[in-house]
Amino acid sequence: MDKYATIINDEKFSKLTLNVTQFPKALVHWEQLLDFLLDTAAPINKTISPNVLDLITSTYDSMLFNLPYLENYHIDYALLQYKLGNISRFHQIFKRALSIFNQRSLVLWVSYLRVCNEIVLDNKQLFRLYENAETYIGLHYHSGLFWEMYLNQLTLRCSTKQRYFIVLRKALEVPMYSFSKFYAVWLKHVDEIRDLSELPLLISKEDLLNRLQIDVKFSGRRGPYLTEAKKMIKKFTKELYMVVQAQVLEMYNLYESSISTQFYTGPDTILPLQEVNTWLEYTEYITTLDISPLCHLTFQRAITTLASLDTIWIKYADWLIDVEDDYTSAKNILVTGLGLSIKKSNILQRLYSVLMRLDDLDSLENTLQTVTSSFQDSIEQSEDFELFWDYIQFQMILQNSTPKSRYEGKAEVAFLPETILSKIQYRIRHAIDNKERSTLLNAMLSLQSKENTKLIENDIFKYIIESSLTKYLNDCVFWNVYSKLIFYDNSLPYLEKRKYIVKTIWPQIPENLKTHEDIKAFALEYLPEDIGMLSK
Amino acid sequence: MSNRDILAQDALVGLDNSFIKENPVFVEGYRNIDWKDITSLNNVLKSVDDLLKIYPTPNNKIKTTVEIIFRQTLTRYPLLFGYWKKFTAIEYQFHGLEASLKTLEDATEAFPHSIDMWCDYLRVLTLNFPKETDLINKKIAKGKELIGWHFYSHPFWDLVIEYYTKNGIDVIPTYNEVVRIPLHQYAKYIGEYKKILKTKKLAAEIKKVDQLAKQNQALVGAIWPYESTLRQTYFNLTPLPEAEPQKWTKYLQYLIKNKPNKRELIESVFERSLIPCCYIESIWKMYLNWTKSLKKPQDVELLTRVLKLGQRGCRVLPDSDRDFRLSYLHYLENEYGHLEKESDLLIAKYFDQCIQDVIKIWAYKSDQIIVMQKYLRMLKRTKYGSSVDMSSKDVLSKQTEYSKYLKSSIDDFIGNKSDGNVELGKLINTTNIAVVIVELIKMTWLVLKNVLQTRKYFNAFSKNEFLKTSVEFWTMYYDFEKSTKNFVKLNRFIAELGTSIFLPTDSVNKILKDYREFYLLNSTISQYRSTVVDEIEGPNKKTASIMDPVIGTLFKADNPRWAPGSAKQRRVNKVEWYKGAQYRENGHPGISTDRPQITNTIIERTSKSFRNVAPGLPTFRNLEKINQTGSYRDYYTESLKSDPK
Repeated sequence: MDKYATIINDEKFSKLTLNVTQFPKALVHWEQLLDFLLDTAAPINKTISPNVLDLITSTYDSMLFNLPYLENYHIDYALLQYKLGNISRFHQIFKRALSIFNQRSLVLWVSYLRVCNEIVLDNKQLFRLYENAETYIGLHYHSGLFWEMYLNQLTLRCSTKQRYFIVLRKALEVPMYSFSKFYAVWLKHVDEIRDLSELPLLISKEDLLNRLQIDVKFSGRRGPYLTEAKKMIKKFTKELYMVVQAQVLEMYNLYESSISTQFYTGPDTILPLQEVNTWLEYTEYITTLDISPLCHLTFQRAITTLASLDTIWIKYADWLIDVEDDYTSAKNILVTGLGLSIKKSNILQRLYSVLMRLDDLDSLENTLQTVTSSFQDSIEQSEDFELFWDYIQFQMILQNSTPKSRYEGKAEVAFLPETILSKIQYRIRHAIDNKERSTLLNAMLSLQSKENTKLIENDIFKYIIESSLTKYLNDCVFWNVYSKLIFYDNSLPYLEKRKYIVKTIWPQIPENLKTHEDIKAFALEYLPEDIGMLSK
Repeated sequence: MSNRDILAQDALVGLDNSFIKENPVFVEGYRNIDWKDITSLNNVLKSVDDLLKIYPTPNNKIKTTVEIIFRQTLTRYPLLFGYWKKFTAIEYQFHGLEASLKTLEDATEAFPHSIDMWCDYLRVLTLNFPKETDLINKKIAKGKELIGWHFYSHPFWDLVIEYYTKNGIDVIPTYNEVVRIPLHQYAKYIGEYKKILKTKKLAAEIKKVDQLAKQNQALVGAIWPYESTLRQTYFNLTPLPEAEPQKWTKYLQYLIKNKPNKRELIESVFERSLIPCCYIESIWKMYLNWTKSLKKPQDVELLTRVLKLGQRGCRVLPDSDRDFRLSYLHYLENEYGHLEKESDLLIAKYFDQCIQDVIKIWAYKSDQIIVMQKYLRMLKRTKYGSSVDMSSKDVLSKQTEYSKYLKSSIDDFIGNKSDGNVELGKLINTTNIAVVIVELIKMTWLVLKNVLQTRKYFNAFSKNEFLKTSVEFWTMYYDFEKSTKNFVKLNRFIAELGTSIFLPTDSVNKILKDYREFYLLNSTISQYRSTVVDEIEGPNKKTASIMDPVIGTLFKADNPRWAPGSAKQRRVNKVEWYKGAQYRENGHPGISTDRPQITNTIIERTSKSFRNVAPGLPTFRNLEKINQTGSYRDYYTESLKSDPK
């Protein structure tokens, strides 16, 4: 029997595949399946049967579709292809992976470049990759390895030294964990300089002349002159070292040293609160330093680790909006976050708002539609009130904005579109707690206009009374809001409103509530003279 | 002279300069007196003593000074009976017998439940003025009422019986009264009473007395376990041992539960407990509640007792005790309107007095607001009341009158014209004026329905400094603009929150949340487009801060000083940003450091962009401060210094 048949006939295989179909977001099941496949398929080399390879690649693909933030599995997958000689697949997988992480994953870049060093023969092509990596992850706290690789390739592949020194000089300023290594290299180079003419490799001619008063074309005795020049260069190197050291130590002491998880752990693993707080505070710290690429990078690191947490996505999006004024990126972050975060409502709230700001109403409508269809078009049955309530609010502004002609003539018969009213009435009937009930009731006051008080009264307040929804009728808030609705009706004369409240609404209050202190809230504020009527 | 005036006097003011120079100890002692420290008071008392030794016949100036010192002490602390005794002696020395008798009488009024003061007073009165029988009898009756049921009141009863015996008055009724009272010395009176009855051969009466004695003995036995544990029954300024109020409380709870009919006894124990525990709020509350529970409907006398008791508590308790005062006010408010006219008037009177007291002593804004709201409600109910059954013309005229009254009070306050005749004008201060203004606007807008005038009021008052921080005023304004659905004004208002209108963050959050909801429910996309999107993204880009009602409200929540574009703005002037507290305390709030920086850093440039020309030399900021430790900001001391109160 060939391997493929062995695998698919194995009972274990069917059990493991069943697990991943049942719980597609559970990392542990995917790992078990993959381990099983790789073990069974071993040795993996070019002789592997296409069927088995298909099985393995499709497993990788589905796993990474469900859990896209698993950096290491992207790498494993790419390296597997590399091992099998599928170079273009290899590049493709890394490129896809990098785009998932907005190009800002140090592990991906380093692993990718390490192989590229071997297989990309065209220098220009390779350095383009390095330049790209520099832009996105050059400021990473642990980017030391990357810079070393970069410098190494520059030494190996370039005939001139200019670029090498520029890169080294930049590395000196990056606040990274292994910063001192680069200073050692730099100082060694300074020592090795034999002639004044080599100095412009390290420092621009203008600054040599203007700030250090070193003339490269000095015509006197050049030996002692060079020694003096080296002293001056070492002095500024020392100063630079002190400054960078201070920056590195601050980051290390405050945050980096307390971070133990740097990667995505799946939606099932809950990180310790301490760790979560460190990440949140770290992003706060970095955004205060306000070095734009470092902010992006740190946010990306934080969302990779805390991907299941809505807070961090919102934080990143908020920073993009508030500081970078970049609503489009914010939208993209929110969309990605929506897929990975466990709690959705807060991200959705931001997303709706951003789409509206971008004037992208089609997307807004689509998103709303997607949300409601995930509840079989009955979003009112969602357990998450916020989710429901944001949906209603944005539906309302969209509905208000549809051309009037469609509703003309109907204006007097509805204060809410029929579909929304029925959803709200459903929610009113099934509200979970007092907070939700009072939000809904107060929102009805927000909808009040000059003409519609009677409608609101009939469709909501009388509706509640007629349906005998005791949770409301036995809550002082209901009666207070009801009284307020009438009192704020501008179309009625004062005494008429007052009479209606005192003689029509108040007598309906249940007896046991009439002695309750809170029932007086409205009367105390608006009708103190009639307070005696409450208990009658 | 009112208490306030006495306390405000300077006792040293009339003294000769030479006298002041010669008696530095006395002068300094008074000048530096700490009214809350009993040792300080005793020192002053001692220096007065020494002074009177040096000047055995003091002149009038010195006499006045000494008297003022005593009056000031006793006005503050009428329960310091030792001081009353001393003062009586000094008054005797200064002005003779009548003055000292007057002092004792004052003492029995200022400290009505003191056995010592009553005994001293009656002793002097009966010894020196035996012919004043009317006065004596009146005072004896008063004394009986106030201290007759005191567990240790036997010296008083002895005095009464002695006086009656001397003057040939029948003592049998008095004995008959005493033997029913649970006294520490109850047995003595039973013996004496029976002896008298025996000499008069009233055998039947003796039997009755025996029975009474038995009952009284049982009662004394029942309360003795409580009485015997009490350690401090006098007033002092030093802190009361914690256990004492608890003992009193337990004692009182026992009596209220088990001897509910012994009202005189309960009242007497309450009054006794309030001598050492006069600053204990819980006992006052208990007393007030008990007295309230005695009240029969429409009983004016009992109502008066409750009202007086409440007022006493309000005036004695430390200013910081809010509960008792608030619950008393609440009681008055609830009681009003359910009783006969006479009682209602009484309640209104006490309510007014309590409000006046409380407005003076409570500095906190929230309290000032609650109190003013209560006052206005009551004012409306008592003086401008209307009912739904009245004709609409009458109702309207009442409401108009009320509004006019409010308006004129506000005008008087703002124009500084307060002539002291307008009740309300006397109560308004910068903290609570917002409440009155809000009430006026509420009346104008919702009752009189004068939208134009309402807007005028908002325009006029919103510039007022006192209102910059008033939650009530701005919430009303927000409600008003909401009712007109004026999004331009609402947006501006939301933008001003936290930048020129300063409300507590919690209130700002509530408004922001509500506004976002209101906007989404009522506005339209085209409106949003024209006010926000086009202004910012459109061809005539405005860098100015436009408040986005949908996103801005989210950003501003919990961060009221947030303004659109401000984070972007800080990049324009980075050096300014580095000087701010947020940057300097970054990572370690409260510790300010000047972190060293590379001012021409190249980390944000790509290495390719250098086009193979080496970068220049780095330049630094704060390099010299690299080894400095951060400075710790002591916010506590800073805020204390900036606000000495």
